[in-house]
Amino acid sequence: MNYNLNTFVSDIQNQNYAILNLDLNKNGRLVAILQNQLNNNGQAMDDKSIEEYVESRNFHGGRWTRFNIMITSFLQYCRDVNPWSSWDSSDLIFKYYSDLNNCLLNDSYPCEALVPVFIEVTEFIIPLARELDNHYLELKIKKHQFLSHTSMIISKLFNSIKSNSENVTEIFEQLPHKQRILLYLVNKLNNIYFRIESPQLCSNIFKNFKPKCSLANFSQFPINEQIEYRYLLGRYYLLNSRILNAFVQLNNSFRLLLGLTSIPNVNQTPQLQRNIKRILKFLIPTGILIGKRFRFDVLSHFHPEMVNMYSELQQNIRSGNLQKVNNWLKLYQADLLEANLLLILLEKLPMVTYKYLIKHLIVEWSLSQGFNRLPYDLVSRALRLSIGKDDYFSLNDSTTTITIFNGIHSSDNVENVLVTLINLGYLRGNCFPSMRLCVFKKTNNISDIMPAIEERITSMFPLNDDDSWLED
Amino acid sequence: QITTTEKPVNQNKKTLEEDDEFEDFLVDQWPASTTLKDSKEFHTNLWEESWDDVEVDDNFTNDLRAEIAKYKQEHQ
Amino acid sequence: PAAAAAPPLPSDVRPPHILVKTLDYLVDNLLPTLPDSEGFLWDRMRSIRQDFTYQNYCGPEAVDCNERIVRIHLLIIHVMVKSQEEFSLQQELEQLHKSLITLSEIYDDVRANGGSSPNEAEFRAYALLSKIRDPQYDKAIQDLPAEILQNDLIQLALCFRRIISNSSFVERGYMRTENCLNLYAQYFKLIQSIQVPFLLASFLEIYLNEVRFYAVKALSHSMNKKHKPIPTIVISGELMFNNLEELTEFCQYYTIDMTDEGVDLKSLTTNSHRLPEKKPLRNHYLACVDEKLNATSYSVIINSGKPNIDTLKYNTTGLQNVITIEEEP
Repeated sequence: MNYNLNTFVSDIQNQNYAILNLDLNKNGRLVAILQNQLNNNGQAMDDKSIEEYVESRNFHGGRWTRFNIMITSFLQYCRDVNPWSSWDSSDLIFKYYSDLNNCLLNDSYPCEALVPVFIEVTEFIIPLARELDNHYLELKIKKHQFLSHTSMIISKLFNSIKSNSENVTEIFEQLPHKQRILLYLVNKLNNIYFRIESPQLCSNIFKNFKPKCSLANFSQFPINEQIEYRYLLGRYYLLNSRILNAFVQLNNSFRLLLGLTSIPNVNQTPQLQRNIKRILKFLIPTGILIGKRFRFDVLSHFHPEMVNMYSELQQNIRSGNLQKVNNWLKLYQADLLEANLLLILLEKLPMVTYKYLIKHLIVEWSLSQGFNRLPYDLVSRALRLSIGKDDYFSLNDSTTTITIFNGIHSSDNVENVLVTLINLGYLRGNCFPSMRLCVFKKTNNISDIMPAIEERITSMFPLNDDDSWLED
Repeated sequence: QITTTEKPVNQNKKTLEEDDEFEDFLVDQWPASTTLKDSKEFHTNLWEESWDDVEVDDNFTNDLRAEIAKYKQEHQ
Repeated sequence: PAAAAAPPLPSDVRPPHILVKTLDYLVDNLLPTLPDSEGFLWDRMRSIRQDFTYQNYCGPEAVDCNERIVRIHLLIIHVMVKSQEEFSLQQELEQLHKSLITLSEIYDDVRANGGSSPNEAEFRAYALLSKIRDPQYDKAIQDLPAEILQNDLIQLALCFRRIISNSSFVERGYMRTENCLNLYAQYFKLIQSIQVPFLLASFLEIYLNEVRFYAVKALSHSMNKKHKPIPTIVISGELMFNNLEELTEFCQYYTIDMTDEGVDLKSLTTNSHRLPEKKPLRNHYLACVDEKLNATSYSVIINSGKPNIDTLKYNTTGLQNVITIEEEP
């Protein structure tokens, strides 16, 4: 192959930018040839010569300084890259990536044609940054240094994208290239923020996504990008304890992903299968937290391991058995911690469990005898059964250490539990502290006294308005 | 080649299966009727219609019933 | 110095071991003169922290000083509230919070370098209480090694965070979330336990007014219109008021009617514990927390940590191990 610097220059002049790829697995031959030429048998071209060489080629009439800087960076990379060490080459690699990115910031230059190579390089850079960050201790760099740096570069591009409000279109293919990669960039950034343990940084991206968008409908973006966006948004809401919002995004993500999966193909696309499991890992507990119950047959088809784990929990909640709910949390503590789910479940499962416990009492004691009241004493006995004796912390007990499993609940909290159920709308009734009695409407229909959890949550906790355009 | 003189301390890398990050996948164009979402033979609604009308019957529920019965007797 | 002032001359910045001695002096000689010395202590502690910042020093002395400064702020809060002397809780909390952030950064750094800090769990527990309804702190603590989470103080802090998470809590800039607990009764029960140390309890006292308010609000919303007033002795006991005057002050502040019969909870009309038209209700303390303090001395409480030496375990065994990172061919 007679490739040389001159052919490279004419490729660039012909806007054949695909050759500007750093990835040696894809572009190694070209880089090797250029390395040979630029090193010129020991007489390497120095930086100044490369710079002058690039300038003298008069790309884009010489008016686009950032373009020349980028081409110079690429040639410097070719000259100096050490194919055996990404660490040695990392300065060169990130310098070029940043210079390439800079070319895309100003729309008054013909940057459109560079977008595909930017994507190629980004797909190369992110795994590389992850790999380098994995060795931060040996490399004596800050934790997440390379991914943080990468996110700063990408966010510059994200910030440079502006909505063309006069030209809002319904057709993705009519968008300028930079607009077409908007959701791609959003997902890349959010993934990085999750990985560098700073998911709060996603908030800014979620907020600025729509104002930058020139598409009339979210659904016009590539479907796989929509699904990933919802997955990330759902997980972000979950980290912020916003259960209903998390549920809506994760559930839609799941449903859209099923729409991409054909029956004959479901077992043959491992990526799809694994993505389905990723969503379910967060969707199932989120659903349970808003009082939903999953179908065994459907879940066992996609994620059999989860069925055992969560059907036990569902059963314990539905029986009103708080001790068993706590035992379940203890049993799966390590997994739940890893997924950041332990504390949210510890906080938000008990009121659902109490609801079913009290419901049981009302049906079997009050309604069965035609009463419209529930005495505190009976509730206290039921709480004692539900919370359990073994795990029960009492003030005179100096030997039991207080933990998250025995320190929160107590059968002394009868009125407190009833009051909280009433405040959340799960129990329609009144407390009479002086008579130690809870009184409700005279009816035989339990759902008039205790409405469904999901119904109450949807009326008390509105969905985030900013997301409404996702559903149009 | 990178050489360093320290032992890696933090090498608990997750396997692909454990990683929460989405994987890229090819988007195939299936006729809607053959996808899981719209299939007739495959039920894909993940959630039960209602949880409230389910009958529960386990040891705990029986203990609770016994406690209620005891309370009834004591307060006749 | 003021924000615009030039940084001090290097000769004016005290080296770490002197800063430790300065703080020793404050603990031994100034703490006993509380509440009078509150303003002076606040200022001197801030300046100790600034001197560490100027020299960008995060060694064991910085950890020790920041840890003790956090404890001193927590002590001061209780002492000042009890004394009823004028002081700014908000300024005290601001410095406390800054120290906690400094500490958490240093702990992270120490861990990233393979070391461990002996008092880390105690201060992570305070951090959990400093923003008691911020879910970010839940994520942070779940991401730390399991032995931190298992620590007794952390477990207590996590209990309290759940107990008062409260779906009815209303404040500007705060987002209510689903199915939260509002187990005010458990807050009052747990805080009495001897397992809750004085400093943790003192921090929890800053939430006392709001816990009481939201208990009253929750009760008021769930009681029947016709329910008669609750006897003052009952309310006072349930919400652990130290005396009738405090209960009266509370009811007057939130315009809750008190009659001969007791407290008419149904007369409560305000939705949030913060009343925009009024100065915040002054902070209160709990007798049971004061008892914890009386059982010991100020300096024992402040100097209670483990020494911060040997924080970093330097790796000397790995020298012969050469590891390589290779690119895929």
